[in-house]
This record gives sequence, C-alpha cells and structure tokens, in this order.
Amino acid sequence: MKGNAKRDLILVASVVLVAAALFCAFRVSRGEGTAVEITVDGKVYGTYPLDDDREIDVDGRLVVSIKDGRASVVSSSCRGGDCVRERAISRAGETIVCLPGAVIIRVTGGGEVDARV
Amino acid sequence: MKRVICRAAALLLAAALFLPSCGKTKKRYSVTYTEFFDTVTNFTAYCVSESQFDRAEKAVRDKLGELHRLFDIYNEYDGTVNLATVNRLAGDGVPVPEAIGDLLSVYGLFWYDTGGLLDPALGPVLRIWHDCREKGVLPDTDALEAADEHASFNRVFMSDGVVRFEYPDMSLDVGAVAKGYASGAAAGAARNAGVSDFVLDLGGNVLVSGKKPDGDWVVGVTDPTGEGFITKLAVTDASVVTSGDYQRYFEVDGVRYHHIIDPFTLMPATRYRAVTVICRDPAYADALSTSLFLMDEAGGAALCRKYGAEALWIRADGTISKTEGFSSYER
Repeated sequence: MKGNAKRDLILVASVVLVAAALFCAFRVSRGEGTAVEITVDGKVYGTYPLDDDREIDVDGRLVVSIKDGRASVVSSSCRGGDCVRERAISRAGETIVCLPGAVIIRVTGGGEVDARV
Repeated sequence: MKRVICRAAALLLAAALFLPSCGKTKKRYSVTYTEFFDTVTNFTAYCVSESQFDRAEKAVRDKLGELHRLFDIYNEYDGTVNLATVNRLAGDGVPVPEAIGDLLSVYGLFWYDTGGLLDPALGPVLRIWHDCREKGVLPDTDALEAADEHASFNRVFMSDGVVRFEYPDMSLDVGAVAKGYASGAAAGAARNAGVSDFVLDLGGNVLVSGKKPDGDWVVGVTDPTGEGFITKLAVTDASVVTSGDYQRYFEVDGVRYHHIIDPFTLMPATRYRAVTVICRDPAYADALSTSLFLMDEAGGAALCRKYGAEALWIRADGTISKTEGFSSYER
C-alpha cells in the first residue's frame, strides 16, 4: 500500500512535468509572431495583433480569422479557394497569398523592434 | 479496478489544476500619448487582462502628467510650484516640490562629473536657440553671450528644499534629464499597479522592464544616415537613450543646427551624429547620453564606467565606436 502511494505520487508528478513541458513548448512556438499584416493590391490594408481573436473582412475579397494566435482564411469570394485550404500561420515571416484576390497575409514580429532610439 | 480509476482521477485532477494557472497567458497592450514633454510617448505592456493594463496605463499617464507640469518651463499651473515658477522667482528663493529637488540633484552629479558640460542653468541660452529653431533663423552671437553671462549651475543654491539663483535673470532648462527621470517615476507607477513587463518610450528615451513572453524586448538604434537601424539591442530592466543631431534641428543655408548646445561654445556640439547609452537608472541614462554627446570619447567612457553604463558613438564622419560591454546587448 505504501509503495503504491509512492508510485502514484511519482506518476502524478511526472504527468504534471510532462504537461508543463508541453505547455511551455507550445507557448514558445507560438510566441514568435506578434501581428498580422494584410496587404491588398500592394498596399497595407491593416495590421492586427495575433493576440486578439477576431475576423477581418478584407475588402469583400476574403475573410481572415485570427484565433489562438494563428491567422487563416475562412472564406474567399474567388473561385479557387486555395487560400482557404492553406494551413493557419503564426510565425514571423509566414504568409498566405491569395493571387486572384491580390491579398497577402503576412505574420510580422520576431525580427522587428519594440522601440527605437 | 477501483484503485486504477482513483489513480486516473487523481491524474486528471492534477492536470486540471495545473494547466489553467499556467495557461493564463499575457496579452500585449499599447497606448500612445502626445501631450507630454513635447514628444510622442508609447507604453506597451504584457498584461493578464485589459483592466489590468487600464490601471497601469492610468498610473503611467497620471505620473507623466504630474511631472510634465512640474518640469514645464513655459507655463505655470494653478496651485503648483513648477520650474516656470522657479525661473520667475528663484532670485528670492522658492521652496520646490521633491521631484524638482531630485532632478536638480541628478544635474548636480553630472554638472560636476562633466566639468560643467551638462548645465541646467544654461536656460537663457537654450531659450534663444529654441526661439531661433521655431523661426528658422540663426541666433545673434552677442545675444547668446549676454544670455550666458550668469548661466552656470554654481550660481544655483539648493538647501532645505529651497532653490535660489544668485541673479534673478538666471533660468533652468532640464530638457537633458527630465524625460529620463519621468520615465523612471512612471515605471514605478506601472509596477505599483501590478505590471512589470513593459516598454515605456518617451520619444526615443526608452525604459525597458521585464521581458516579453517570447524573450527580451528589442530596441533598435536609429541609423542617422538612413532609414534602418545601426544595431538592435536586447535589454531588460534598463534604459536606452540616444542623443542625436537628427532629433530636433533646423537648417540655414544647408547647415544643420541641432538642439544639443555646448555651454562653452554656445553652439551645437559637433563631435558626433549620435550617442546611445544603456544604463539601469533611467535618469542617469538620459543625463549620460547628453553628457557623452558633449565630451570626448575617453571622458565619456570613464563616465560610463563610473555609472555602470555602456555607450555607442556615431562620429561626425559616420564611423562607430563602442564601450567594451556594449556588444553583449547586441543581437
């Protein structure tokens, strides 16, 4: 009985540690990008923090969703719909391009600065 | 079988208890002010909730507003003794609020350490340059020399919270240290409101506290000759300040006249395009950047050692030099 309790404790402790490690790894991997910049016809349409969950209607051409630190295209008025099938992006420099709609969605941050002197 | 179920329940419970507390991720919030110290101020912080950010942001705003009014040399405010009051009345002696005394004490240190190069009593001279900058004309040399007649900090007396000038025509200008001092006080207000991971940027006078969830805050050092950065610095719990000839200036006949005036020549200092300082104390960081801009490199490096600071000089010819420890902040 005593031995069982001890084993339980070790089991619980290791599960907690694994959970913590997984959680931290998850956080680090998604911390890289800070914002999504949407460009339409070569001009910046808007910049949106990855921290804020929201849906953005981009000029009636497509709808971008920002959720849990990731950006994806949820619907598109163009026929192909390739961009909707693209996987969600979250790291600095990653892009989703909708060629027919001339829309580029890019994650900024990482290499950028927080202030300048 | 029963024991196995108990064990599984215990595991689930442990996981359930652990994850939510760990999963309280902080979000990035930001606010910009334009009403303080004649510059653009940005406060960016990671907070657990919007209401937490709102509390910190209000504390920062209140503190900056209070110090802006105290250090204002152009306007007086009802019920407050500020530097404009001091400049008007200190011929007879004026009791001053603690923050003004503190700020002048910092000046006292650096006035001594720089052999009089950093001098808040240069007010009358800086006033002429300020007016000329707004009109875009060059100052009259005789007028500058007349303004300089009593312009020395050793003619300012401070005791028991009373400031007195030796001559009534003297005046103080605290532009070289006020923003740094104010950023330090405002950072204290933010921490008292429970926020410790933030950047407070008073127009290129940047105080960095704590970290971002994904690492250090990054401060870019402006390239005076172009759009980009000379270097990027990863800092935590320190201030980064640049004094540069491109920050406030005017041009006459293609010659640039900037805002950092040498008290001995009464003209803009010409050794460097810019000097960047990293120092833990925000007021010292601000004082050091202006001091170093006015000094030779050896003297500046000695001052950095005294205050535990690091510096980067961009010389007038565009070449660069650094203190030994500066590179450890570059990324």
